[in-house]
Amino acid sequence: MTRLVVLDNEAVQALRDPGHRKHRHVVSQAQVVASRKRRAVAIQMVLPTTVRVEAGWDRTSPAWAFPNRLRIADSPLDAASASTAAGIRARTGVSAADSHIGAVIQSAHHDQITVVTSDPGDMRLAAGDKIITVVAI
Amino acid sequence: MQAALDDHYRRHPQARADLADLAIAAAELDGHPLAGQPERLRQAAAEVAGNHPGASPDDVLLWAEARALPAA
Repeated sequence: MTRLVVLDNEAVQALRDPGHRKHRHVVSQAQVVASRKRRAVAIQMVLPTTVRVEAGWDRTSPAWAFPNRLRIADSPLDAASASTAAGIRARTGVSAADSHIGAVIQSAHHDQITVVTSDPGDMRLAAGDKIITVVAI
Repeated sequence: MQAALDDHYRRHPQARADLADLAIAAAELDGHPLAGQPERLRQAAAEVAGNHPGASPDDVLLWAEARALPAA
């Protein structure tokens, strides 16, 4: 079974800032992923690059040193995913970053897709017909 | 990844989740029905940790799931 964990903007903000009220919660998610990786579970955390822009996550900045070390992969906005995201945005009215999350979800072939988000409603809209697990933070 | 987390816990001890928190996080990530029953998971974590100090969050989930089964 393969698992994909997608982070939204607030999850990223919470991860970066130890003073954020949701920091411990999101770090807990990262800890579970790390523990499962150690047991060779096929699980991957990804961040759509549009979300990274929205969050201000500059991988060259020391301010992001901790998240940078968590092996959270970029999911780039290439031509195909931009088209998918544009369609999602036109249909649902969610933000550009959330539309990119939707494009990542819709193109994923993992057995389970989990989104860590402060906006479950928009994530379900962006996911369309794809079945996802939503972790509300 | 674990090294990054361990380093973070050394700098920010308050960021370290306990076994119950991790069991809840695991349930949330899996979409497990018990994710909506954090108190049940906290109780299971307390029971498991008492006898198995090295238990994992998934061990707690299994125990909580077993306890939730109706008796035969």
